[in-house]
Amino acid sequence: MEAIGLPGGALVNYIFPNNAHVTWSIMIVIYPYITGLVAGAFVLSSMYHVFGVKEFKPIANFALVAAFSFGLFAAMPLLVHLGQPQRAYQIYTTPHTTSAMSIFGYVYSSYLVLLMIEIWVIYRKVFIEKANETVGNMAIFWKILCLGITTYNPESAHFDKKLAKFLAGIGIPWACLLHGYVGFVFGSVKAVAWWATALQPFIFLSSAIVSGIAMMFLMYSFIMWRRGQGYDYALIKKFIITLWMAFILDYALEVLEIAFVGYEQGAHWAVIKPLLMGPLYNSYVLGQMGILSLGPLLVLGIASLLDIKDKALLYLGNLGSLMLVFQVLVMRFNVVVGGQLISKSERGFVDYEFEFFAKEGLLTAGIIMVAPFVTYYIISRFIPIFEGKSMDTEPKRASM
Amino acid sequence: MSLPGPKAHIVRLVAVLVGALFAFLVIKEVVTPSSWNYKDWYRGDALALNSSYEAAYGGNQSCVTCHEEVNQELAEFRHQALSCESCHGALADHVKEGEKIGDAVVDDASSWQCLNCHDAQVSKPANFPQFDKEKIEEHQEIEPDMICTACHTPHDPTP
Repeated sequence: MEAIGLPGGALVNYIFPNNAHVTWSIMIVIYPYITGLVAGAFVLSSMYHVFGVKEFKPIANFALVAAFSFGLFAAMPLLVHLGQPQRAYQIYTTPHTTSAMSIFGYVYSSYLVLLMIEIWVIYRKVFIEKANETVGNMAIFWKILCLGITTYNPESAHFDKKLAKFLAGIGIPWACLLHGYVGFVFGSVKAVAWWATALQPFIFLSSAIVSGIAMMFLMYSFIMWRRGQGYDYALIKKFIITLWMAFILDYALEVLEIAFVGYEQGAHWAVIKPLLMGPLYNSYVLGQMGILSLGPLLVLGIASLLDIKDKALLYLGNLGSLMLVFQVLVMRFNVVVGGQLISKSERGFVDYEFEFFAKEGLLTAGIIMVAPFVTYYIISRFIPIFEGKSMDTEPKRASM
Repeated sequence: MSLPGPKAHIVRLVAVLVGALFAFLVIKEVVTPSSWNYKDWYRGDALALNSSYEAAYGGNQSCVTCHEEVNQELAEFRHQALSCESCHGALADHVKEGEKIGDAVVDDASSWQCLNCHDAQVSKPANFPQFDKEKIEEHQEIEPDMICTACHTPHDPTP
């Protein structure tokens, strides 16, 4: 055992015997990540629905449907992690009010219901059209989705618009609560020195918004490229500026948190400093706080401030967004796994090894991460998400 | 048939939501165990259920009744503090009314039982005998697939 780099100048890597494993692994890393994408995408869709930012109109519904697609899978990693997933309903039937995690079930489900109602209200016109166009089983499906009301008149359209705005309005604090709550769940674990900070909910929330906007940017540019429809550069510019601002706030919080803990030189700094300079040096110092943060700050800053247009703007936006979706993913890893590397003895570090084929391995994580995109694709086959016709499907239809 | 009003869909939506909430409350009521203790948060019947299970382990005292000589021998060895059933398995069904009714089988074809305790882990005291992959491979250079019990007697493992 090395003496250098161990907490408190300890000579021996002293770990409590019941504390040799990292029990919350990759599943618990992607759980806050997916939840964050939901919250971020929703906030982006509210830019138009609530705040009336006109540039975001083309992606307002897209961000909402994407938020829903991610939302469906936010709790999936938790189910995989549980030894007994068939007991998941018990968190709803006998929730204990002193357990932060126990109340998460309600926070998450109520938010998903709100999201579904908002999408329903916005897409009701489409559902009614489909119900009247189709025959057979599909007609029954669409009629059920319309709740049997197959006429659409201007009065109900007007009412729906107001209702959608109201739902989006209460959706913002709700989305913030949802993801702030995830940060709260971690931040309130006082046994883990690296988690226990009152700033944790705010850091989780701001990074959620960053990851959501960045992911929407990547999806938007990919979908537009596939559709061959041409890019809306006014939107892209606004997108980049919003993302840059959101990340400045997020990065400031992350830096402030570590600066505060470091400057305070509190009891836990003796274990946190060697953690960051040792096991987490690559993923935290170089990754999260270094390359994956300074890179996007620079790239998005250049794209926001300088007079960059067209394709160059798109490429810079994609580069910055790509780094940011990874920055947030690595941040989740550094928090979840990093925090558990500290033994409860606070005098030693536990080892962590990546698994691939295991129940909670990288393969499972990859499948869960792909699922929302597949879901989005399936939904997009049934309802129009972007305005205008797709260039790559139209000619094929015409030739049939 | 008259056309539905402009807010008819909202009325139906509210009806669906109220119906879902009602269904949830009914399901919650039905699936929550009747003996649920809301004060200490556990299922009251679980205590009776657990105590109704027959014990699978007999404990060292039940072994000593017949195997007194082994017990005396063990007192001089380093494994003296271990429970017999740690290696021999749960033995409550080994003897019934003074008659032996089941075997006390030990898997002597592999080393997994030894490694249950002696697998190397950073959280174990440094002076506790531990064997990691490397150390096991060193032993197996002597003879491939060599297991611990080829040289060490489980009751008296001192090399």
